[in-house]
Amino acid sequence: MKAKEIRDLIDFISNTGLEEVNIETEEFKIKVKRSSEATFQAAPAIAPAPVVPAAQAAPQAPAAPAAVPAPAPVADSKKYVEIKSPMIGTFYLTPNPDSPAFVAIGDKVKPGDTVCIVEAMKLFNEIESEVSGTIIKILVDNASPVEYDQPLFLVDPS
Amino acid sequence: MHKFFAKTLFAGKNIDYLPDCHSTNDFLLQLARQKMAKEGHVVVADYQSHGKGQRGSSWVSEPGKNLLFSLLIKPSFLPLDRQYLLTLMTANALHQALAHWQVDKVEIKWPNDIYLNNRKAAGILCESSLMGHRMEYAVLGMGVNLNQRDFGDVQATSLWNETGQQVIRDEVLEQVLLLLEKWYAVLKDGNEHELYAYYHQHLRWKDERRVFRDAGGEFSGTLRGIDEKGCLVIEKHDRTVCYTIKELIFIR
Repeated sequence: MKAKEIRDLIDFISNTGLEEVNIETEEFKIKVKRSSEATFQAAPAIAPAPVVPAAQAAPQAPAAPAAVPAPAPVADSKKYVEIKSPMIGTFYLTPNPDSPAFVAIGDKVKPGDTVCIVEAMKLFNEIESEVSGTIIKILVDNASPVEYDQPLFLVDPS
Repeated sequence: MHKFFAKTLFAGKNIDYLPDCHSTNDFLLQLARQKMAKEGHVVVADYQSHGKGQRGSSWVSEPGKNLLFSLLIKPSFLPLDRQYLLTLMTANALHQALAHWQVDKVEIKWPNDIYLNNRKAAGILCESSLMGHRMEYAVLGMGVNLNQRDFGDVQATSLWNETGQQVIRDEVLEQVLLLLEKWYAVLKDGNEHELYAYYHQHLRWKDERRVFRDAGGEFSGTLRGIDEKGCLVIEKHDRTVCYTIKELIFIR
């Protein structure tokens, strides 16, 4: 799917009254959601590959993030909450290298849901969310080192 | 089938024996999550379809031949920045348990494998669940080669291969559980130096000049032990370098 097609699709959807549209084919999956500020979040394709780090878009839609018509409300990020790393270690988005990610952008989480693993000295710690909301952003790349208290996810609690 | 271990204080008073399962760690974590398992709960499997070694590298085991189990503990007393001590205490316990079987050389390979006569015979994988800054529970998972004879091309061995005698799984399990309790008590009492001392005393290649590989290639160095963060300290040329797990490979 080309960037222009994604743009056209978002334009089309924005002219309808729909709050949220999910389209899934064999090649890609796209989710367009109208937020309260009437901006749009294009989720990176998470299917069909078993593990696509959610931080990178699938090759079929390289320009997907650029297709967001209005700039994402970054200045508004104070209304979001962060899930932070409780320890120094290595961040993993998947339970195993060949498993799908625990969460992807756009997923809803609630307290007790596992969102990632932080490993330190062979101890694999499943990190559970303490908040309810929607994952807005994954702030760390899979398999990279994290510091104590480093923000891992941005969650929209609304 | 329920065996009861009379000698232990809390470990193994509740045991689930499974003919096969995905992974004993996953099964026990699930029980803990559903509040269906107390501290000391043990899950033993004859076979694991997805037994886990170091993240992804799977543990190859013939059904029924080996000891594959996990123990649930609730180490809420342990600050999160000290939790790697769980790996240390588990390695110590497993080492001391296997030392009962009179193999010439029993060693701990950093960070968490046990070697019998220079071949890997057991591995450890600890997993936990954290919400905020509390460790609600941890599972200590172990795989020990008991009566498997053939390991193909893999540089591994078993108790039977090294002792010349078949061993009984529940006897090994009881021994390991007793020593896990002992070392867990040491940890609870805050005797970290005792944990370190035992670990260092039995650490493979300690104070030997060996060949390792890091991001810069192969080099000769002397392994000095682990630091207070659990990292491996190696003297490389005339300086000291600390390595985390993925940064270093043991060559010869």
